[in-house]
Amino acid sequence: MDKLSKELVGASSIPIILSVLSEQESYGYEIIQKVKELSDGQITYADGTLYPVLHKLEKKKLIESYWKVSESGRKRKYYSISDTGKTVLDTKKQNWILMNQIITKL
Amino acid sequence: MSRDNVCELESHLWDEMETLQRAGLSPEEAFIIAKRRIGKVQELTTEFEKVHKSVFFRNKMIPYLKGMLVFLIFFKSTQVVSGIFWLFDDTLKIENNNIISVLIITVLAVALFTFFYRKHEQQRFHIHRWTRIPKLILMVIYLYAMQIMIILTLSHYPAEIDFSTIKIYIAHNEKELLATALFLILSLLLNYSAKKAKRMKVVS
Repeated sequence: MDKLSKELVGASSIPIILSVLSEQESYGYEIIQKVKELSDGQITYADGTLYPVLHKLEKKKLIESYWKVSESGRKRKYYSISDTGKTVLDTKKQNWILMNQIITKL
Repeated sequence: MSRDNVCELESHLWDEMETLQRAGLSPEEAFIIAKRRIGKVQELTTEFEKVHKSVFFRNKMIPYLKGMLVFLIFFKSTQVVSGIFWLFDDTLKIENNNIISVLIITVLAVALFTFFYRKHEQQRFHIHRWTRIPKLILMVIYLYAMQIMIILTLSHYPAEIDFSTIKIYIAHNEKELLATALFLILSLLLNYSAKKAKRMKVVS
């Protein structure tokens, strides 16, 4: 399979991140690893560029953040989905299902 | 970048290094690869700037603000030193006071410059320590207070405190005082907002 286009990865990043966070709270590094694993290495977010996306979602109040001391004793910034985020995720999922239906019907 | 952003990227770097070390790399190798993967400073700054425009604007403003405060301190210091010479003139009746005061101000300026330059040469000059906004604001207020004290003394304080002199001073320098007060308030607000951005709440 050809590598996914940059545009497609960019356009799908918000619903994917929100989906990951709807499962459970997570932090930047874990989100990158999870998306990589779920997409069989097809989607790999550039390390430093995921954070501005997370911050943009936080500004839009779709996610919330807090610093937490992990089991290893290190501080990590965790993100969790907000109620607004859940509503937006539902809408985005519907949009992607619709897109998928259009493409598969043709 | 804010402290929050830097700590988040640092935490990412540690996570990446741990994964690489588990894969068998040495700490040095893991650091080099993790650093490369996280991206170049310029690229990261560009990406972060898109989201945190106000933070970047504030951070760009702060050095200009400090420069203006330092200039204000220098300007006020020369006025205060001149004021001190007027006091001497008033009490000792020295003639040619203007020439003496200009000479002493020049000597003081050169001495200060030499002091800072020597500290800089010995690599003991920490510009951040010398130009902290609250420190600079206090210095400006102190110099204004000194100037007012000099005016009071010149109007034969304490024998007869002549507050009308202060009223005249305020009336004559109304615009300057108002502009300075607004400038100091703006500096304080910017400093407060920068400090607030450095705070991090950690939940256990």
